[in-house]
Amino acid sequence: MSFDYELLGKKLREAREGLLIELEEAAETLEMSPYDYVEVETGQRHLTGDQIVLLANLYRHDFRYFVTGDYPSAESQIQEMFRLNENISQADRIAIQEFSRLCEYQAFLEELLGNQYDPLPDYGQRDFGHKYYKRQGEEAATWERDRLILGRQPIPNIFQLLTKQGMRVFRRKLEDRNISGLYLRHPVAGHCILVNSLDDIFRQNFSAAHEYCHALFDSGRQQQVSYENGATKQHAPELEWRADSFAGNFLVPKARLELDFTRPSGETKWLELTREVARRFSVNPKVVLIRFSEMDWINDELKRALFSDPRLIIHAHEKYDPEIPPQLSEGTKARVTQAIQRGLTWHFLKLCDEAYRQEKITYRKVLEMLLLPIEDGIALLNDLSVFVEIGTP
Amino acid sequence: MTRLVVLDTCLVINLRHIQRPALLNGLRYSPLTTVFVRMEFERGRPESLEFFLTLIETGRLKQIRLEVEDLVDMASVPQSRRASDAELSCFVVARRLGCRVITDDGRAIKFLCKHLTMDPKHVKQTADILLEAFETYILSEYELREIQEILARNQFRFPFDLVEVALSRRLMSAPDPGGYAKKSGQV
Repeated sequence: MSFDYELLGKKLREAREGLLIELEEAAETLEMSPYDYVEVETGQRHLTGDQIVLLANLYRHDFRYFVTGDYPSAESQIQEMFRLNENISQADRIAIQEFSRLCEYQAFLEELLGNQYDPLPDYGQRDFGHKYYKRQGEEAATWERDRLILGRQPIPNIFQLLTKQGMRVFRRKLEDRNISGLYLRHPVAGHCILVNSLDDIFRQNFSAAHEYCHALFDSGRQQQVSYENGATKQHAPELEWRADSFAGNFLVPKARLELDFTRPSGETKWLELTREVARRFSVNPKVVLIRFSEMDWINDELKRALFSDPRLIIHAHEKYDPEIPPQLSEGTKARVTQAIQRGLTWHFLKLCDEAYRQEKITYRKVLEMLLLPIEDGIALLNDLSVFVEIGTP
Repeated sequence: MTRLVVLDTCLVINLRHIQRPALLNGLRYSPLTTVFVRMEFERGRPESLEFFLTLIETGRLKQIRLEVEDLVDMASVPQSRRASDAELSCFVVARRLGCRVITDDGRAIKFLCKHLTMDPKHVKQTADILLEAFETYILSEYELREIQEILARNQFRFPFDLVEVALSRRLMSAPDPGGYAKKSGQV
């Protein structure tokens, strides 16, 4: 069967336009003129394998997507996301594309290791008996806490909690501060969540819970980008209200607050209480104030005063990242921290390690999946005591 | 006569560590590599990329062009994603050209030989190259020991003593100097 260059050209064009890459840049990668590159995208000019690989690399795709007709990628979901959110910058589009590949890798590893998960409930199909979105979020948060047997305790590691349910959760730095996170329904990897790690860890916890709500309610929409700035919430703002309500109630349950705390008097005491609750539940103080307000513990005037009080801020050194295991040596911790900052997760590293030890993948495949410079990957694997198994001559 | 061989990333990195860019050429090999290997160096540290590019520029290593059919072949290997794209490309090219491939991961060799129905004898490893260099007197015992130490410092440890293997091989292949077999009536 002859190779379909027309289909290849169509895929290349979509991938290039999705990442806002100019035609000239693509042409330059192949050392050809833009006129010739136009012919590539129309299927009139045939590429070599090398040239397809170079473009797959430029467009952050697996080369298999371009040369086979059945590679299961999230291309249509991602293209739809980019179409609905035209303001997403090129750097962030690239980060999202890489995130999608990490999700594919994670699903692949879990499949090799035989890890299986129960499907998430689909609250979008549930009859709530009312159409109040915020209330739906509140009710779902209670049900989820019950389903996951969390009681009313603080959640020490939301990322781990979601990962244990088979969700793919990654954190990457997105240059647009307004994007707090996004949800992607991947045809193979399933529910995928990206949290903007440019935010502080307390904010990231909230974003993860927020995106979790999208997975529970809105997976039928296939994708959703969440913005911190309400003004940019152009698409279905009611879904964002519901997700915010869910996140607040899920992370800071009203029942726990009522059980453990009493309403103080005086602004300073309120400040102290807000900070204490925020630290205990690992959320930003503003989230706590919104919870207090929703519970009618504080009025709007006090809420505004506390919101603008600089003493409310919890500094970075008072927060810790639950994803960085405390038992690691300082050197390893530094390298793992660096890997996490570059978008990997501890869970992903452990999956790679396990798959390699069980002889499911090769050493170099592990390095490839880490998306790190090869020497950095080797050093990281060395820290994790993963070495290449050399055969006997 | 030179022998074609397809190099994976690993050996190139090892050649850099031991600072012997011409070792393969000295052994009369004509090393080839693929765009996937090149991209791994482009993503790596500048000094590694510089070493790789110098090999290419000096003609010590040649990048062979992958054809669309090679990519289709790679994608059609069952569970091809269990090996890296660079490993896979080297094996597919070696199979196409009917030559050997040099890579070091025992698991990759086992997996790819099985799925590409290649004889494992068509795969060489860093150790094979170093032993061959010793056998042909390109490397001395002292140099071999030093190389082993350098590689170990770079997280590349042989599961055997390279010098011991090299010496025992030389001993086994040497002609019987004292005619012991003849004297003892074993012939």
